[in-house]
Amino acid sequence: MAEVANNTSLFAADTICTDLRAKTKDEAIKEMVDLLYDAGVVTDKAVFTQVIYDREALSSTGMGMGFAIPHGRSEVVTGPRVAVGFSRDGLDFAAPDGTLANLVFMIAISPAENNLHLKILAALSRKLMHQDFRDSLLACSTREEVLEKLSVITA
Amino acid sequence: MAKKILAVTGCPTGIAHTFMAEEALKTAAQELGVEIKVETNGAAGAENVLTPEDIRDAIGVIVASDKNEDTDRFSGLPTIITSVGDGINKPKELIQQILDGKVPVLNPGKAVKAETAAAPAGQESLGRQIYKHLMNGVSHMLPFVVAGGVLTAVSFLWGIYSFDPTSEQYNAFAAMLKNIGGISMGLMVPVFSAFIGQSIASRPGMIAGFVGGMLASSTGSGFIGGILAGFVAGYFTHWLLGLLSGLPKQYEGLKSIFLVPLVSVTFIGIFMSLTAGPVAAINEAMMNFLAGLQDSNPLVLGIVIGCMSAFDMGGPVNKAAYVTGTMLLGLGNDTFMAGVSAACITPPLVIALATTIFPKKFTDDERAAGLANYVLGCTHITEGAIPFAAKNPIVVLPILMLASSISAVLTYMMGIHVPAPHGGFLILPLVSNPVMWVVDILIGSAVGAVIYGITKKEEK
Repeated sequence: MAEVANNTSLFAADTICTDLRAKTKDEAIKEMVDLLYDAGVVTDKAVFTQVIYDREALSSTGMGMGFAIPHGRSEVVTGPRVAVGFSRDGLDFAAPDGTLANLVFMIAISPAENNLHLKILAALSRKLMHQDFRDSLLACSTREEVLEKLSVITA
Repeated sequence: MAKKILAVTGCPTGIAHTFMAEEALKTAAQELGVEIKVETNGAAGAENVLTPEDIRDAIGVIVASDKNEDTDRFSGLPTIITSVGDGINKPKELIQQILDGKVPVLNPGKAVKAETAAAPAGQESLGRQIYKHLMNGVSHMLPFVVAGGVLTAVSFLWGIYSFDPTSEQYNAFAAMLKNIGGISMGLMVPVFSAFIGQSIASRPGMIAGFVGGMLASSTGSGFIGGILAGFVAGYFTHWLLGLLSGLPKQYEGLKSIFLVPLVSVTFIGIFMSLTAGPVAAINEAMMNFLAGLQDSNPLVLGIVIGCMSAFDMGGPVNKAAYVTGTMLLGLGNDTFMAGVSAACITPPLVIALATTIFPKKFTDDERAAGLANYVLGCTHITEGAIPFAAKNPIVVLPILMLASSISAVLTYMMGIHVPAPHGGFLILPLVSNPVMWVVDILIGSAVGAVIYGITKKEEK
């Protein structure tokens, strides 16, 4: 948890999973909320899960192009964090282009988020629009490799 | 000089989609060899804001956003207004449409170029526009109704006639509350019309809408008159602004504080006064029809209301039922609202009861959320059921709709009166037959809970 304090990175090894067990969207959300909870980023699973589903109810965050970004802003988030999960088989996030999501980024931020983090999220979002970046992430097999690939993202 | 296209991207949470659309549009523009500037309206505020110079030099604009953007500044430019999703998924098509000159000019009053025919795929449909205007009115109106309705309801705690100085129930404080509540409720239709007008034609539209709404309210043309006032005021003002946009710049001040308000208010005023009689008749006919349906066919009405209320839980379909109930309440029909309230209270109670009856089928987290749903249900917050429904909408929604229908049908069959538009069981002291009303709701909820519990797969 102390790692978050350096204020520049939104990613950490303990919230990266290069092979999610989940086979469905619901399972993936649960698995990734657990990751965030175990890492101490989220203090209340029920509340945060609800926030995530409330957002999904507006419209699915399966963006197409093989990735999904479920996200939630809540008081129960201690520090901003983006959990990263890979699903080799792909998960059905009801994307408009019908693709399955191989990359899931679960964004947890607190209501009083500072601009720096929002800028990093914006930078991540931009990066994700590029096929080669997505492919390079999926080619990683360890958390450390993923972290290194993501470290190029700065505000 | 290269062809320059402008774009605005935005989304309600503003932390991801906004920037994805930005990147997608930039990448597509590069591939097509076009210059583009993208303004992002994300959570951190607008960045890379388009300047008047940008707008002057542009050949077209793409607004890819799921929130209301200021588009007036693009008047006279070919402009596509579409969702942020289109910006992400079909950036090339959007840019190509502009390059092909297939995009109609926004607010053609200011334009020199002729309009083109067929609307491109990304164009916002008429239905969606009307819906957006209507909902802008509803969302501004609701707080007035809730505050007014609850205050009125609270005053009844001293007795139904506590406001009447000749009654022995009279209480000065209760009378004051009822007066405040009445004023707030009375603003319902004017505010509704004003913000429909505002959604269509910005502030000038609001002025005409407000006056039109006051007239609707005072001439008894009510809810229907209010809708009419808002749309006629909005579109008339929109047309008027287009017409006057050719005026030289030095008349700008005169136009906005004198000409436009005067002409638009005169027009809507005369229009509403002349149509007041017939519209009031339609309004009354609708009220009588609904009231008649309550008596003659509670089954049909209950099913319709139940299905509407549970269909999207707090979304537009639910709000349509709720707003109708509220409007009728404002006009003195307090039985219609009883069914709507029952139907809105039911879905969270279905969830809550299901987690209690079938604890093994739910996770710890879900059982905790189930407990919260007791509170949410009792206070008329239908949205509590959303997370559960969202997990498996195809199965859960019909169950909730069935449950809500049962509650509403029973409520209508018993002719129960509920005089406040919100508050759930907190307003029980005001309900004409509180015990039966609660029983009706519990029957619907219990039926739903049992079906939900049986059909639900165990979660580990």
